[in-house]
Amino acid sequence: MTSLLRAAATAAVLFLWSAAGAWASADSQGLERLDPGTRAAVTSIVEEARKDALPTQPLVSKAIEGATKGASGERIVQAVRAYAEACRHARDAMGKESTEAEIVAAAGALQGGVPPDTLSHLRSARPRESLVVPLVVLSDLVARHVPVSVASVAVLAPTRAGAPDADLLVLRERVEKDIRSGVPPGSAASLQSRAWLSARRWQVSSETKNETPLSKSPRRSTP
Amino acid sequence: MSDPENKREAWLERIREGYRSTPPLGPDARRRLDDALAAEPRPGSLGSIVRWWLEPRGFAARPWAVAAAIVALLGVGVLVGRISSQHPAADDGRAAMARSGSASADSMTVVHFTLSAPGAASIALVGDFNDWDASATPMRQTAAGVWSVSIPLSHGRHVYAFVVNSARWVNDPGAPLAPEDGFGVPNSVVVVGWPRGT
Repeated sequence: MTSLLRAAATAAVLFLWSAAGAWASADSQGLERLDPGTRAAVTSIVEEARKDALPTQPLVSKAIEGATKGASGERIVQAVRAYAEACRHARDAMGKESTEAEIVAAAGALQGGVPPDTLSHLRSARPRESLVVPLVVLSDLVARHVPVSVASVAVLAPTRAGAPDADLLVLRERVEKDIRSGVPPGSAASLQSRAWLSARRWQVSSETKNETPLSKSPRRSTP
Repeated sequence: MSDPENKREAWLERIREGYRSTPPLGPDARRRLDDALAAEPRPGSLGSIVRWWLEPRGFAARPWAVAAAIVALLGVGVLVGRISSQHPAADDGRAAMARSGSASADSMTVVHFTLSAPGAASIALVGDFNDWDASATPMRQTAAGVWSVSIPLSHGRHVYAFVVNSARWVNDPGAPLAPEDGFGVPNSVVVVGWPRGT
């Protein structure tokens, strides 16, 4: 029995040690596609990000993406460094409680030209719920050439008014459809956002009207 | 028998006699024995387990067995690390995408990708979920010019693109765009999970 326990204890210790080592190095997998100089530079950026408790896997993925797309080593290092910096600014703007997915999505938005203030406002609008979808929609609008200031308002206003993720995704699809049909991107985003807000006001107004004092305290019918 | 042998035999006999005779017991010997036994932790109790871990001890093992165990455990550890790195950690998965999919596990959803590309000879799906490996997820032509593939993805935001004829990168026309990939080729975004607030 004692020898069995000894063996089990030894095995557990060795397993944890080896698993921890493999886990720590897992982030760097795939970097073998890079040349040694680029790999060293990317690894250095990734380690720096790890020390700052920033997401590291997206940085590695960015480097691999660059290698697959045939980018030069210099371009890859530049892109990974810019992405890491964007992640750092995104977390600063949205707060340390932000999830990894939020930070990565916000980093994309920042790289598209969205100002950090917009991220802070979005966080204020949704202090406890995920910002991933609002950020994805915002980034998409910017990528479709909606001016950054218009795109920011187009997403921020509905989010402040309590728009669920599904509504924001529908808004994005409608903007995309309008742009495809020839509406200027800024106008399309602005119109669709206002349309959602109008519909929301109408909905709230209808609900308030239905919830009349009569329904709250029904009158007694007199005999 | 010689004299030394007699002496040795007599000495051994005295020792044997000593073992045979019962030593005199004191008046409280029984009580002291019971107390000592009661103070001993019972086998299998928490105290004995803790003591086993805390007391210094040595053990013997065959070197080849230890070496084999180390190699096997390193292999398992590396395997665990590789599997975990292939599946991006699921975030809180609150977002949504307007695409078909069915839940296959708590944090994984099968996502269906399609692309209309008449005249293409081959199309591959690449993204952060397959290390941008163009040979990892080939798409199949399901109808004239329509290519599709279904893969399980962890909940969260993923970036992807299509590689047409092993050369041309195109984004998904029906999906949100990622604003900047850093390499001049736009990507698409898929957020896996169910809509929040619906």
